[in-house]
Amino acid sequence: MLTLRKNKKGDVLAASERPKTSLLIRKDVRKNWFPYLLAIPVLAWFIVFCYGPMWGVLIAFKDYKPLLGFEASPWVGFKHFVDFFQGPYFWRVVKNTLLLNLWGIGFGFTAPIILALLLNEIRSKMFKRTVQTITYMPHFISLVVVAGMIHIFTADEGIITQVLQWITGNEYSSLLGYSSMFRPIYVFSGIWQSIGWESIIYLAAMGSIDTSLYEAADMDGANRLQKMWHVTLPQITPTIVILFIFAVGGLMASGYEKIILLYNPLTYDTADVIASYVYRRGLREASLSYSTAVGLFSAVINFGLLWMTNSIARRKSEVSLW
Amino acid sequence: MVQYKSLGNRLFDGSIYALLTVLTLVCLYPIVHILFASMSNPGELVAHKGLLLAPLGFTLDGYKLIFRDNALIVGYANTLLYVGLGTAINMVMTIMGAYVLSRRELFFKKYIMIVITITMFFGGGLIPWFLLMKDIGLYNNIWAMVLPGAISTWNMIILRTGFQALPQELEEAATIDGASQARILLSVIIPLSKATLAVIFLYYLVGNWNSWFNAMVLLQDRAKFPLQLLLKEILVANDTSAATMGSAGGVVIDSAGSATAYRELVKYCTIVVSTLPILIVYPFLQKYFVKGVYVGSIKG
Amino acid sequence: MNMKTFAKKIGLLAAVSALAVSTACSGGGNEAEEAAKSDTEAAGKQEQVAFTDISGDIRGNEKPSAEQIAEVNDTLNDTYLGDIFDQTIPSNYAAYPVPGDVTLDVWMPANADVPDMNTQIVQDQVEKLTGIKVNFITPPVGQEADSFTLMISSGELPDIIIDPGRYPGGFEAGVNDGAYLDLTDLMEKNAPNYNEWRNSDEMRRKTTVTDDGRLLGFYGIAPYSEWMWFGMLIKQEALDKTGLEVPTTVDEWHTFLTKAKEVGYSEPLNYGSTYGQIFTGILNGAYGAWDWTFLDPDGKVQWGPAQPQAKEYLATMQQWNKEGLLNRDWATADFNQRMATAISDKTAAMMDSPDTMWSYWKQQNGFDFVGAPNPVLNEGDQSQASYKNFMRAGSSAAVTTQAENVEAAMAFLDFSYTKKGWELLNYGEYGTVHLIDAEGKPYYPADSYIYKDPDGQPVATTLHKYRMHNWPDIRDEHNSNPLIVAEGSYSGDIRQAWTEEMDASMTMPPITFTQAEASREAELGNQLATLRSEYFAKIIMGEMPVDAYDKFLAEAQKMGLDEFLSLHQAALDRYNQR
Repeated sequence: MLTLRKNKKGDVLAASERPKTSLLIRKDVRKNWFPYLLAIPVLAWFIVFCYGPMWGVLIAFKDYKPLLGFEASPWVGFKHFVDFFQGPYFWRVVKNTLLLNLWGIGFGFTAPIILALLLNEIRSKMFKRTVQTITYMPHFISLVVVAGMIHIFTADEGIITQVLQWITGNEYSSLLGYSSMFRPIYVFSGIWQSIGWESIIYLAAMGSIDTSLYEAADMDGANRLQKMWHVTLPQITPTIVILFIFAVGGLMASGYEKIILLYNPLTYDTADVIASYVYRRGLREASLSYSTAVGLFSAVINFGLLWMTNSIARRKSEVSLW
Repeated sequence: MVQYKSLGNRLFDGSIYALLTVLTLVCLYPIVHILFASMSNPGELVAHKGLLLAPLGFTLDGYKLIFRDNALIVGYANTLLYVGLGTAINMVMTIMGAYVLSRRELFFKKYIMIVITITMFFGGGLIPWFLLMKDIGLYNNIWAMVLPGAISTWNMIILRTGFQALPQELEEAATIDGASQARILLSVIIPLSKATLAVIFLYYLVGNWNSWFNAMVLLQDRAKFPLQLLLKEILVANDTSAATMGSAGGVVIDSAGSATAYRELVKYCTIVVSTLPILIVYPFLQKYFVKGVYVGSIKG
Repeated sequence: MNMKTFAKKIGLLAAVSALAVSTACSGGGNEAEEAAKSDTEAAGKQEQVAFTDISGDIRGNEKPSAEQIAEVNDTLNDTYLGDIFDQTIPSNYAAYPVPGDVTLDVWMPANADVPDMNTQIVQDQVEKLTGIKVNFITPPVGQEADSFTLMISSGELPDIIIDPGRYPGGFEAGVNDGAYLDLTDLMEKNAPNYNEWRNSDEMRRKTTVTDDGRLLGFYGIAPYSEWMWFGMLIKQEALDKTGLEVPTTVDEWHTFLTKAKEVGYSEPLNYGSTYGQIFTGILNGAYGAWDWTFLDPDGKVQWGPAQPQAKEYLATMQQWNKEGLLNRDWATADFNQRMATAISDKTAAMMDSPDTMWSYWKQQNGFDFVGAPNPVLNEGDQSQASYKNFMRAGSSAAVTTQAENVEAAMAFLDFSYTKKGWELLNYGEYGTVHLIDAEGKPYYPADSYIYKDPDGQPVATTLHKYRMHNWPDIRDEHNSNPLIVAEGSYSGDIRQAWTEEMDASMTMPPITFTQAEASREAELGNQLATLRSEYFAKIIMGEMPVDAYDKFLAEAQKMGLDEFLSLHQAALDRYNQR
């Protein structure tokens, strides 16, 4: 939902007179019965699959046992939340979630911008197209396969392990066994997966830059690097800001699918994030209520973060999500 | 000065080409490595160190092994079913939703939008989600591979924006000609939104092809497992037995040493077999990418 | 709001929307209903009379005819089987074939060597003999724990669950929560063979009943206490090359491994893997730092990782790791990777099962090897191990509260405790896999499928393919494990020697927890296990200093180590009262 909406306050509807509303609705429904008909299954889907699970978060306040059922399981209030906050892993998972995402923003966020800037300078259609086709490719490879490839390449005698040994001169065993290696592996494989695909959006934004701006820069005697810096970059800044809001808003929310495909007890101290902890406590160790409580905690934090960054962005750059 | 400039220009160009070439090779190499490895002699492969720039020897034994076993073929068939059915439902639902949201003067549009937007920020979490799936009968049901992911809100909003970007006059003209709203959707709006539709079609296709988590959580019968879940066993849990059972199919595994080598080979081959179809499809849709992604995202 | 009714309403909505979306929805996804039952089978229950004695034809017969093979494989006639154990195996077949068209769903963790349990050859034959069809549900490999949780959470249980101890809080908690049936009152009637077998010996009786006298399910019960199966193994050639004797003390081991490294074994001790050899008691036992709970000389429960000398153990291992004496990938290798290293010239010694290594080392790659007793600290100390078999072996099974036909489910499980079941499950099919000797004891002839698989697979695989290795049954490990009884195998000798030479008196017996204790015990146990794995692995790897052990101990205390121990102590006291 990358809608750019200039933040103007005057958008409020004129106060409508009450009596007319019902008439208006009737007329609207009669005229637009077709869109409303189509809306029914779509809304039904949202209600079932997106709102349905929201009621389930109540089990975070219970000691839920599936065989007793929801009603018969006893209420325990905030016990699970307290357990989590006081437990030994609270700070670790919060810290890991933040750090992993900061790494992701630091490296993963800038990489596609750089690629798009470089591609934008290429005049040869053939070359550009080839680079694009190849850099998009990893995006279409499934997470399972990507994880499999990482396992293969970082194994005891895997190619990446060998390269690293050659560079550093140290002996390494399987890289996935070192907690210090987890973040680099996670983030750089992520860049490999998405650098090409995520550059598309910036390329598209660059495509719509008014060419007169470049002409003006030429007149000022700007070289290409300066044009890149002073024209292209500022012009795609709104796009960058929007995507940045999403990235920062997601600081506390990392996808756990890739993590659970890559981590192991040896790397928990860097790899275990809130979501993977929820998964492990919930599905592996069957602490259903506890896991739901942790999940709820992170959902609330996420929402707060997103809201915060959005309002900062709105104030600073007049660009926001809502 | 002019000379300096053009030299700088050439240096600039040169370094950009060089950078991009290196980057492209880095992106490409892992895939090529897997491809070459899948055709290599397993014994040589295990002993090999360093980059792989051509297959070591040549053998298709790995492919013979994985296709001799039924499990992968069943997984493949399941995946095709889920992808076909799932993508069809995805497209129908998304078009309907995007159409509704793109109507300009719907009285309830604002409320519908609120209902939808909230779900982008809040969810129940894993366990409540699972409990709901089970309550509505999707546990161990193949519809679990299709219905929970029927709509991606993101894609729906991209498509809505695409619909909104169409010139309003076309629709007005059609209305004057007496076309119904349904008619307009089918013969004006959809044909004109080909680029955006192609992109979200691809998004869904790839998403469905690569999906494994729902299957892992919701499916119980092996006969229903999609390819990706079997891949997870082979690649991540490192269990290649399903693929290396026995020696029929003309491949004789005579010792534990060579069994280990074949296990590695099987991993490479399954990666190739599971990834190739998607890698073949997307370049055909590539020309729509920039347009489709852009229309949906920036022009609000 | 009531969750169930809410979900129903939503379900209705979903149905409406699905109809609106695609007409193909109706009826989709539902399994086809079972075909209509036929009554013809009711007549099949005639031959309950005594069988004709066919021992003359079968015993000692090395070339049985097709009719004789069919007689053995297709009927319940067990007259040719001898009584070879101290107690007679029961043979009550009154329940078979079970009348009607019965299909049981059985949940069971997959065995990597048997891709599809539903086509496992022994199970097919059990189905034939019992008249019960079985549909095995096996989760994805590596995903067993999650699948189990999900199955329990779904509330849709199969008829039988193998390995029911996975229930959070244990087997008994599963019964208390209403997942599994309490079988106490049903055993005598529905499982006469199991009942008789478990009561045939005091130890068997004691280890298969709860503190309050309940019978939860079917446990694998061996005819004897099985030998220790895990320990130090050394390649013979490594001893020859180093010119050293089999080491006994930790210091001698260090000397041996260092020498082995000098003569070319680059990672001489294959120390561990993801399935956890570092917690086996083989090396840590020397320091009294047993892997988990154990009995101290006063009969009190203690936790190994918290013992005073654990720090010394960690320091030594860290040193060994630094010196390159351990396999480099000990923390991340899985079984396949571990075996690949074991058979290479990197490895001189292995911490594993002699059965496994007999297959991988000797049989498949020609390496002879010897077993060594667990190392001790000082010359002359008694070597110790924390493994004792309490005649409980194999797996266990529970009948769930949702089993529709409890009699049939119990009859199916009970078959494993009959003579015929013992023969079939342990020795596989008659003719192709085993024959019967003159005393009525099954054995694998030299050309048995077990040794000469038509598909060319090694014995380590065929032992799962042509027989049941881990199953709730009368497991006859010493006589039917082909890795032990194969010609020339000495793995049984090693295991027997270990069992006789080592003191295993500190081993905890199979205690059980009350409902109140169980979930707390599970929670604490999980946390302590995670904590231990992390700290120990990191210290040994050198990523943490040895002094981090003090922090580990403090955290364990904070987590509730004392409470954990008192739960175990209470359970032990109750066990001793049984």
